[in-house]
Amino acid sequence: MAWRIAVKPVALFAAAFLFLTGCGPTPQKPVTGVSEIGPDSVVVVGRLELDPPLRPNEQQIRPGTIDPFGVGDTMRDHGFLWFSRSAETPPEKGEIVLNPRLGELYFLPVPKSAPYMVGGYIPIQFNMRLTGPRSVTVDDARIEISGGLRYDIRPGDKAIYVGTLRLHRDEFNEVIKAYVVDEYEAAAVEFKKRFGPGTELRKAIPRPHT
Amino acid sequence: MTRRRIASFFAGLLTLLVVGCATSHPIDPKDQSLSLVYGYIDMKDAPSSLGWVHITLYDGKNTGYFTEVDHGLFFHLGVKPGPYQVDRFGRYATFLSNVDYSYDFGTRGRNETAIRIEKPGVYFMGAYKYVDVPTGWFEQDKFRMEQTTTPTERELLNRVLAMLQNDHAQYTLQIDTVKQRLAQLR
Repeated sequence: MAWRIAVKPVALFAAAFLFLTGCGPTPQKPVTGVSEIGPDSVVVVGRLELDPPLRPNEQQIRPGTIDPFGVGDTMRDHGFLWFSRSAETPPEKGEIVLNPRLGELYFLPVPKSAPYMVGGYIPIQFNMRLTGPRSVTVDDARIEISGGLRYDIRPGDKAIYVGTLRLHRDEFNEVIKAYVVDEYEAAAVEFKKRFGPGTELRKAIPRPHT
Repeated sequence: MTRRRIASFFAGLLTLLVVGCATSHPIDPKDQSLSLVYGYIDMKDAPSSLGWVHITLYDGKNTGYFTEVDHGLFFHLGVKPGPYQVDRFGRYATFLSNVDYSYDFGTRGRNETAIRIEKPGVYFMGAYKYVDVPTGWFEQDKFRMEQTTTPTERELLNRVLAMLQNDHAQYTLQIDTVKQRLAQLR
């Protein structure tokens, strides 16, 4: 039986705002040059795809009247993937979060110590509204992404290609099938354009860990 | 002159409000493509009573229906074909409480109420109980929805029939369909 979070009116608007902007880890920023890759990190190159894709206006993202931290922009046409040092970490408790744009090749850094993709989601609805003088409600709907992948990150790696994570959904936004597609050749061309010919993009398609 | 402008502004505003209120579409009693959808939520364990239930149409346009609610029973008699599930329920502010309550039934994929209406008929979304889950002082409140066997589908449908006959007697198509379904449930 699934647990549901009650959006009971106890949280102050400010508390909810701080929760949204401050409590979770900040999404990793895209890597633009080789010099940005530290010895403890690796650039993960891949793609997150939804099938069927989001329809126009299907996402309802309303993070409030003001959104100085750009929370809405991280949700519109984007997904979240959580990474951790341990496979046992619950989704959203991961230490690292990637925020790839759907359907586009991403180049995002991940610490070598956090190879487990423990879950993620694609926001469908995020509507924050005041429901009383001291209360706020968040209408939250999402497409959940199962974790259980271990990325094969090796000590000498600078960049790895992890494939296209393709999610097939049913009409209720339940992921009914997920698999990784190898599109290495096209990704390698794009990688070379961005980082030059000197850096190797090693193919490391992840496998489910047991 | 200024007073006239203010008066015109308020007259315009009032017109917009009235027009806005009048845009909800009444259900055509002769429309044979519509279905009756119903279910039940027991809120004895919840911090509020049940005032509204929203069923969402999963067509990517984020539309749906607010149902009629009566002591836990919820129903809508004019539902078009498509995939639906309850996404939220709650209660608006009342005279004694100025707080709106909104509960998430489960909007992370398919939940237990999911139905797919392909042809007109009577569709039961199930009976559920709100069960409070104890949490710590600084944690967000939690609950879970448990499917229950009481009241039964038949009991609930009898209540729907009574309400239709008393309050919506013009919907003879729906009343006949409910009677047919009740005959099957005997």
